[in-house]
Amino acid sequence: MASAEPSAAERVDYYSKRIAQSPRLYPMYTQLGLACLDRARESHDPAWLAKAREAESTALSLQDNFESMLAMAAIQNYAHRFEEAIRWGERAAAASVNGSAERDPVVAALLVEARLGLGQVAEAGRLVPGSVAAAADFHSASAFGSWLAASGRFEEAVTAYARAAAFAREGSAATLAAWAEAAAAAALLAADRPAEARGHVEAAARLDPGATVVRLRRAEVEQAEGRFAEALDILEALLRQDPDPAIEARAYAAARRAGALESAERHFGAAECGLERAIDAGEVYTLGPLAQLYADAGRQLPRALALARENLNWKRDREARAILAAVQERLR
Amino acid sequence: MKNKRRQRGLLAGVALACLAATAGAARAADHDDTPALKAMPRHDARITDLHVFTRVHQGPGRSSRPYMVLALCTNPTIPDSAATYAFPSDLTLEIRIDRHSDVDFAVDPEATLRYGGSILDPDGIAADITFTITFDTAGMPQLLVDGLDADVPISLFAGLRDDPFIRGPRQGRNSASVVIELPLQVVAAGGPHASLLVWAMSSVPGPAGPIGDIGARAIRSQLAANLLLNDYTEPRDHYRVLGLAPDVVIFDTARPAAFPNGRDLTDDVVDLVGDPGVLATDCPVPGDPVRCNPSANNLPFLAGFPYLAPPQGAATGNPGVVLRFGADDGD
Repeated sequence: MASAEPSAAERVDYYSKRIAQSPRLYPMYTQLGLACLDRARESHDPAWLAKAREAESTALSLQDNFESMLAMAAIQNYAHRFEEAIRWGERAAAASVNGSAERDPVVAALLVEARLGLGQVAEAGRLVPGSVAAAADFHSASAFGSWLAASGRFEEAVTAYARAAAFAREGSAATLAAWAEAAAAAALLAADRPAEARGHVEAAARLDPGATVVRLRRAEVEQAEGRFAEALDILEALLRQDPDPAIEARAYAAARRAGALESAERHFGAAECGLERAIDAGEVYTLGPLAQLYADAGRQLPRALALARENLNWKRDREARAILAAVQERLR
Repeated sequence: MKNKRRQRGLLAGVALACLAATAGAARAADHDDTPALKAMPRHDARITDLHVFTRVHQGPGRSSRPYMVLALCTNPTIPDSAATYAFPSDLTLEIRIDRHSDVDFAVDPEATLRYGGSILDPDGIAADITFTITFDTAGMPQLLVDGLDADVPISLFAGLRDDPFIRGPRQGRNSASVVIELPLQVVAAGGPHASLLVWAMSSVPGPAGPIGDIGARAIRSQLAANLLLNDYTEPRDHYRVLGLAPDVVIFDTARPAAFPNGRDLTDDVVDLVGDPGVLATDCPVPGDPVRCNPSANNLPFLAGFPYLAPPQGAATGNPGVVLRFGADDGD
């Protein structure tokens, strides 16, 4: 079951052309915004994020619509502006087919992501199903998995992600199924069980071998098992495809552990430059990664501390707190 | 207002050919069972309800002849904040009428109770009349009619209206609606039978080809087994491929239009069908007098065209446009 969906770049091209033909066709702006968000995910380039927001704002100015509200929630989640994401998510919830009383699973999943980003695990828990068996669709099951993982219940999270993957397979959605398998692997890595995580990575690779999330997870498994050179190979292959500064930062850490110091320096410079560019553009989603990069390198530690603290103003989950702790540890 | 954009014949035929060529890519349904359009996401192309009923124009000097009303509602996700509605210019809506198929009302009483009758030759279902509604870049509707004379008086409404579906979660919500009205005798007189089959379709282009929806019977999505209908946009294929009753509204024009013989705006189809799964979700806010197990719409329907209630909270917006086509019938 391989993915045959158009790439984000192809979608950007398609919807841009449709807009050129019909400048008032608001659904095309909605779709363009979502395609730009996917380009931002692929590249960490803040310019794509700005284009995504602009496209959705245009769509909303032409016609108030549910799809753009949902897209705005997704964009702000990616941008780590979780309070904003909640505001858009609640507006989308009210506009969904059954209204706020019976939440749309996609809306609920976005709200869970936002609440977890803010470290509001209990609030997120009120938006997920009561059990894995009660998750009736891909989005409910994956949101439940994310909540279980954030609660430290990794074994149950894996079960929830497996259910999400099963729903995706049932719907022939290879990309989503691969994402769910990769998420299960992440939960197992968080539980320090890399050997089991590898099984899920292999399953994900069979579904969508080229997916960035799958290849990143494979690199994490290699790294967790001490094979830093193998991890570096995977990350550098990804970078040849898309020069994403977040991956550069990971490559720096892997190269350093592999003893490839020259390569590490090169990746450090590219990561620092790219992550800074997003901050310069007014974004906050690279505050944590840049602080982590400095902590890993033992450089610019006072700045790393400021970045990690500033990051906590936006993102207050376990990862954000761990970055601050890592910087503080380095400063001791 | 007379509109000269009404076109017939060749153009309508081309539009139908395009739709036929893309039928394989389509997915379908009514209120919340259109996964492909939800995934795109193109909620604006989702069909929510099709009402088929009759009215006699009220007032001094009006004739007593009945008019047939076709009310097609789309987009179940319109935010409360939307005070107006612009139909996308890439959306095509169609309402199709078969006036040649025979319907029996005695052979299968259960089918008559559930679907309005038994179609004797489901394999032969095909449109004799097609109304194709498209929209220009400003959202203004354009109507193509195939199968009727050019001078038939037709009224068309397109715009934001209160959602007429009498179901708890939909009370207080709006829908994007198209309403067509024309003399009943013009539709019914074209064939030897008093029975009509009516269904609606939508279509929008996408990167992987066009995609759309089909909507007709009020109860279709209320019966889980019938969700299989979603994969087939021709009602005859519901019978041919799936062995199910085709998803059409059956309307015997010799009898009053009331569900399941057609569907009037005041028909509480949720209660009339009594599907346990739908009834279980008819009260999203327990104790709420409007949204808990409603048996009537929370806004009164209009006595005159377009009959659907005005949109919720839309006093400041543009609630839609009315266009009139064909000869002035003085009514």
